[in-house]
Amino acid sequence: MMEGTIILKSTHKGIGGIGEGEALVCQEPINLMADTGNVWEDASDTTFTSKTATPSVFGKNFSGKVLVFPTGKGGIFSSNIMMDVVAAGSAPKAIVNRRTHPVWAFLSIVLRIPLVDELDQDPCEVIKTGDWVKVDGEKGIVEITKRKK
Amino acid sequence: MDLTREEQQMLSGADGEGYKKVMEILVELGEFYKAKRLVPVSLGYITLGPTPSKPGKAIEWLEELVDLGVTFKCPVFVPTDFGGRVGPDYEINRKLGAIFAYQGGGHARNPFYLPVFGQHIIGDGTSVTHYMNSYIGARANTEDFIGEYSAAIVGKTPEYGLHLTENRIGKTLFDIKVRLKDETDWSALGYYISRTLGTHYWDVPVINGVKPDEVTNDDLDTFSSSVPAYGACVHSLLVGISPEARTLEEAFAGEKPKQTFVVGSEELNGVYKTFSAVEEKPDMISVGGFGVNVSIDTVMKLVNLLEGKKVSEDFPTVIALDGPVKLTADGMGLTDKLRKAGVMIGMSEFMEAHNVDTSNLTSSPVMSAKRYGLKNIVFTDAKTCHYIENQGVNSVLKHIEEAAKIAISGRIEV
Repeated sequence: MMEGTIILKSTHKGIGGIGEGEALVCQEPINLMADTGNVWEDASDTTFTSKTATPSVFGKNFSGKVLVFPTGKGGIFSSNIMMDVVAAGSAPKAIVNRRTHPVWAFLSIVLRIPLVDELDQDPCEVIKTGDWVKVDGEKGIVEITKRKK
Repeated sequence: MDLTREEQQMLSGADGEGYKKVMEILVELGEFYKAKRLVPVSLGYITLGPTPSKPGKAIEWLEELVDLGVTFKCPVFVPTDFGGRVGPDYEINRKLGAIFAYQGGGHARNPFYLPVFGQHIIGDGTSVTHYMNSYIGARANTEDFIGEYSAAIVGKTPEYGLHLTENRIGKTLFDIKVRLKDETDWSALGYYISRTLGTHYWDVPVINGVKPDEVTNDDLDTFSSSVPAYGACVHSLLVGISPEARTLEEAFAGEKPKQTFVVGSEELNGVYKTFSAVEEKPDMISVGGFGVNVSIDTVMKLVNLLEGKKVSEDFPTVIALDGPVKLTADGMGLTDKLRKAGVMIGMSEFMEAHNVDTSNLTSSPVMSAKRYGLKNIVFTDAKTCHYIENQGVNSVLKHIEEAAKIAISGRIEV
């Protein structure tokens, strides 16, 4: 049964337009350069490959998903990667952070991937993998429809 | 954000479409981070880096900008290696007005042109950014090529994050109770702090208890490579050395730390345990690795350790060195001595031995270990150990003396 809809609001305007999809929630900070080891061989393969850095999403890929994670790490080449991932048709639908790292803010601006952060509740707690999430970057709002149990 | 008349003019397109494009990016970024204004940058270090596709959308994006006629508004130093000399980014950087005077991107060992205290700069990757913030007192955030090139073209960056004094003050205390005996120990300490801070990397760590007269600049460079490895910390305060932390009190601006962590031998050894051997036989020994190139001190140590000996022929032993360190080592005859002992000089020698395009950084054994069938690799720095794990590699962290022993005997004591 449906558990209803939860709305999270940001303290400020986000980036991009509106994007929605199934959530993939990662509990660890992400660095595309190191944590998605297969993209170097194939830009459409966004599988998380690090058991120690990103164990909560190990073996899962973020293409077509709303990617929820606490923050980015360094990995200044993450934008080089995401540009090719987007060109390969494997982009995430939107991004939700606790606090956005500049690398992710810049790539979202240029690639117009909806992104919000600094929400009134912790998105990594409230959102579960599989929930349906709508992100409005203009308004800074995240709408969560809990997955049917 | 408050923009000056010149900035508004650039944003409106009066200076051309190229400047308008990058100004729009900086303004949107500035508003996202609630910056009040743009501040001038005095110089930039930029490494475009590899792209999964060839030439990659990043190159196309930059080529479009170059075609719109923009140029850098501040001195910008770009590395001359990994494809930069002949690859498509060489032409882009040349047209933008870059200075090719900074070999070996990714670490702060080589820049010969330094900012001064308090200047806003474009800080390249996390290691260089950490070094400049923490030991020079220059101000930079970790940004990607989009942010770096945009700021260099405008000559300004939004005043957010570590450009602001209030974000540079110490928040957490790391009390060091163990003697750091070499660069590998400094690397392990950086990794320990990085992991402990986790996702709260903006809680500026203050490192206390290290005797300034026992610290070398190479220690600081190595520490700068690993302290951002786990969670993007690009500013820390080393009491007695960082210009913004001459005393413990100054580091915290008179406030109390939010949290205190004591680092003793158990904590430091824990890092070595994280990266410990599961198999006796290594597939490779790499002194230096992922954006970590060695110091001249490490080169000299390895030469002494291998004097009159030969490394095992069962697997490659590689030393990653570049820029002034490479020139100095060549001039002193050290690289010849290492070659005689069977050591490969630089990842490019390894790649040449495998008939791989050496200008393609993604073909380096530390980025594509899987492709070469490397499963068990010995390193002397914690950053590379951490980064390579995503390829299913078991990385082993060892001091240079132990790495040399393994190179000669061909076996790791498990």
